[in-house]
Amino acid sequence: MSPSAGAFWWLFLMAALTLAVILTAFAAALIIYQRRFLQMHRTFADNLLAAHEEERAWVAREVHDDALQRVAMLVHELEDWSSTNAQSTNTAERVAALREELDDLGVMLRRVAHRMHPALIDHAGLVPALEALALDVTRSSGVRVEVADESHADGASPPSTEHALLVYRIAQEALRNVVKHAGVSQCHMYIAVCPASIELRVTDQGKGFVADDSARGRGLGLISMAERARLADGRLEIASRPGGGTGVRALIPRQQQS
Amino acid sequence: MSGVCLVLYAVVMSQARRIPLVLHVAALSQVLPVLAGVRYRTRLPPARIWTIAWCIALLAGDGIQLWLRGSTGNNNLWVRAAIVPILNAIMLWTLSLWQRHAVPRLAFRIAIPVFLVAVVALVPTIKETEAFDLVAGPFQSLLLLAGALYTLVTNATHDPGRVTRYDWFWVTIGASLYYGLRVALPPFAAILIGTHPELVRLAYLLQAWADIVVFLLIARGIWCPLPQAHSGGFF
Repeated sequence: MSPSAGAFWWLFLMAALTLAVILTAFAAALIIYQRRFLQMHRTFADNLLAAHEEERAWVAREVHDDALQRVAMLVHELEDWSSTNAQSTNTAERVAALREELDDLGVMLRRVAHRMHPALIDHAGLVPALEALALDVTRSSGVRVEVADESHADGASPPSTEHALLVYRIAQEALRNVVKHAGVSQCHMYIAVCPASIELRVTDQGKGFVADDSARGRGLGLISMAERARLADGRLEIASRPGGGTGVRALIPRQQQS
Repeated sequence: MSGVCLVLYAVVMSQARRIPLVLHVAALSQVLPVLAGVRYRTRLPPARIWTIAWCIALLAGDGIQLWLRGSTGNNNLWVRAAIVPILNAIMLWTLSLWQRHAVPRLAFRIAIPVFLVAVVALVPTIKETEAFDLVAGPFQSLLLLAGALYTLVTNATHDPGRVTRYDWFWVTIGASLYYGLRVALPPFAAILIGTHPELVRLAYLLQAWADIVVFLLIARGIWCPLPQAHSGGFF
């Protein structure tokens, strides 16, 4: 090799190699870091939601097992007391009012417990729990929720509690948004539990809003719905325009479910 | 005491073989960071331990080359071609330990196998050992120069205080000088050796002087006060 003739080409090769190594190393590092960061973020969000659900389940249990039992006991005591004691009309009226109040308190506590942790999911499954949620929303807000079950499971196992709870929470948030923002008296909820996926759609013909892809300006509710869907490797789509109603669609894959 | 012995040894050796004294002193100056490390012994932070490991490997590499040349009289440049990538891998790892953020730290570590693959890939394309040294040596030096300067600049901008109290400051300046000279010198020496051999000789003598400064700077870095332990880490 003649150094004088080739030296500058070697210099060029040297510089190109150096640049290639630097660029490769930084690109690989960025990709690895990004993956690690996403994984960490995902694990954190997952743990946070699990802790949140655990806490809610605990509160629901406490309300159901303790507060509601006490209310029932008070009602029973009141009945005993009113039957054994001589009473004037005035006292009977007061006892009746007190009993009514306690009954209301019982209903309210049961609703709180159910909202905190839908035990129906554990006992009856996702679809009955969604139907109960729809009924609950109709009762408490006056917005009629029509539920349509479009499932075709074909012998597939029912969704896991985690997936069912996740879909339930998305439905809960979507219905809350309908009640709060849509300004309608009726909305629709479609649920389709299939072997490969779970699809939930909540639609209304209400006020609507400008839906775009940017997270900026979105409410916490929309973000939490999207985050929940993402945690299960699913996706959340929101279609809306001012005056044209809103449609929320969550699609959760079931491949990873054991 | 040991420093005086080394200088005496260098004087005796240079007189015996008529080799310029500065070359011996430059070779022996590689021991200075190791001696500086004795100050903290086992309490040395990992980056300083790796810096010392780099100096020891450099010293060992030079020793092996001298021994091969002396005992067999054969061309010993292949030893350098084999040892230099190992030395540079150690230096990249050391520099990675001084990175403050996860991405550059990871990039420095990923660069180790990538550049080793690049060096190995160069072997079949360049047949002669000299030519291999002409390309692979400066290529690695340029990479390490970039890494050392990047570490120096990013850390210096991150620490607005007195940077001279940090080991990375001295070591990265030393490494920049060391690798900077090795980027420029071999290709131009190859060009000028036929026409101006005296200039090449002068350049290598200057490099030897610069090497003494390099190892003094690195030794100064090793000598720096130990950093205070923090509770918790940073991300």
